[in-house]
Amino acid sequence: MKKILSLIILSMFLFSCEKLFFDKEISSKSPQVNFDYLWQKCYENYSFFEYKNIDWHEVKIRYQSKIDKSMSNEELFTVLADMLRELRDAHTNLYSNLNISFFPIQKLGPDNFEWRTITDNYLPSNYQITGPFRHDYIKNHQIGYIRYASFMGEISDAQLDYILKRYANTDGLIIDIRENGGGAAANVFKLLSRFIDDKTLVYFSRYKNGPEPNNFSDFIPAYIEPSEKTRYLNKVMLLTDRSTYSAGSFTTLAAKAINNITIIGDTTGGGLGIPNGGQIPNGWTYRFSVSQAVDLNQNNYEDGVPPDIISYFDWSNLNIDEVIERAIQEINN
Amino acid sequence: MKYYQLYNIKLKNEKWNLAVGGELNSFSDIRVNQSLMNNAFGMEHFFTIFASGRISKDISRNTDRIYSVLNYKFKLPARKRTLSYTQNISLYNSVFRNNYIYLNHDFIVNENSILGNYEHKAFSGFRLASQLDYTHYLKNCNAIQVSYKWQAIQTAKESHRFEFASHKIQLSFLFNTK
Repeated sequence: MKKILSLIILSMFLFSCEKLFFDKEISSKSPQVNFDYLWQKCYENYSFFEYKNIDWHEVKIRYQSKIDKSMSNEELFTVLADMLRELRDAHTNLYSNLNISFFPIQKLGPDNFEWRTITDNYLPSNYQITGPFRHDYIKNHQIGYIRYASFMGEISDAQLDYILKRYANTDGLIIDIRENGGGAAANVFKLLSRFIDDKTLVYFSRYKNGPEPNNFSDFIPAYIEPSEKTRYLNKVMLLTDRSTYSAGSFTTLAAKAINNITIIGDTTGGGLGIPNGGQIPNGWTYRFSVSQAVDLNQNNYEDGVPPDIISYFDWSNLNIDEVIERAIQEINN
Repeated sequence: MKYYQLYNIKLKNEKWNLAVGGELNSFSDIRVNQSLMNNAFGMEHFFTIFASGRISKDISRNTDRIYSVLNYKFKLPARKRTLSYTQNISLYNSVFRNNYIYLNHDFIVNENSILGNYEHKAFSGFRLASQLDYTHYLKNCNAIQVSYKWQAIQTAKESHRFEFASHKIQLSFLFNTK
């Protein structure tokens, strides 16, 4: 019996030998180890170094000097967050129990949206709310105004059918995605499929496939098929601003390829790289962009998709939304 | 899933039994980690051809035995038992897993696929597996087997290398053994 027991115990040790050939465990609280790890992951996976002309090696030298083995977690977080902020990318975050870092993309341009101005001066007090959309007629039932504040969640065919049938006989639609920070990309295609007549190539995207800054897959085309449900083929005005980000920017980029959509307002915030997450050795997590999207002429608008017509909100008069007024003017032209 | 074929090699000592052969093994894992955001869901699939060897020892109790613990005597009847150890070493390993950036890119170009941009790599990585079985035969030719199973998988050396080890204790009921 003792022999059997000894054999079993011995075997237990022999079995658990994966550590002999697995890579060394990288769990560590060391500020230097965590700094090096995050810098390296960015170097290998971030997708806009060349486009943004960022010298990541130079960034390392600058922030390396701020790393000290006795620094606190708060101090380490500040250094790492500041380093990531050099990417000028709102899809870049560092997450810890202490704090979450971010890049304030909306500050790249003026505030261009005031909801109260719209509810007080354009929409009836009993405007409709259908799923994520707030909408109603404006300008004596000539125009439909649809406020789409977030791409979070999934929009349904029933919601779009109801709205587009309601405004079917209008001269034009205004879709307001100012201050829309993004969400589910599937909604981009679901929404835009209601405004096209034919299968439409809207942009290209590619993703990192190797550790060097220029290692990318081929560009992959993004097509939208026309919806078989209710569609709207009159004029559509898409309102944007600097806080239109991520899925909002993808919508704007795709809308550039759709003839009956005109983009009015300010340049979007960008966010045309898909963010992806990972974990650094001390357990904090991060994300940053790992892909690129370009328009049909291969223009990269990561710094923001420009509008067809520039228009800014005039904050000296809160009774008028100049961006909506410009959209109305364009529909009436 | 696995299929294995082992061939006995005669040994002088009848208490010992050695068998060698091969095993075809198909193994998948699913990873869910919400904190990794767009990386939150992932899976890997491995197909492996193992070189396989198993050595067994007959440790049967041929006569009834009486043991005494704290003045309490109990009898253990004669019983057929075996102890075996199996070692598998991969000869061929193929991997189906996420791409370099751990991302399903398809959704951003309006294509719906659960495992978009996954890549298949033949002759990639290394896999080891071993198993220790204690089998206790009952009078009715059925048996109870307790096993400790271990496996380790390592994909090829790359920046997004995947390493996996599992340790399992398994209780099996074997019916109609010879």
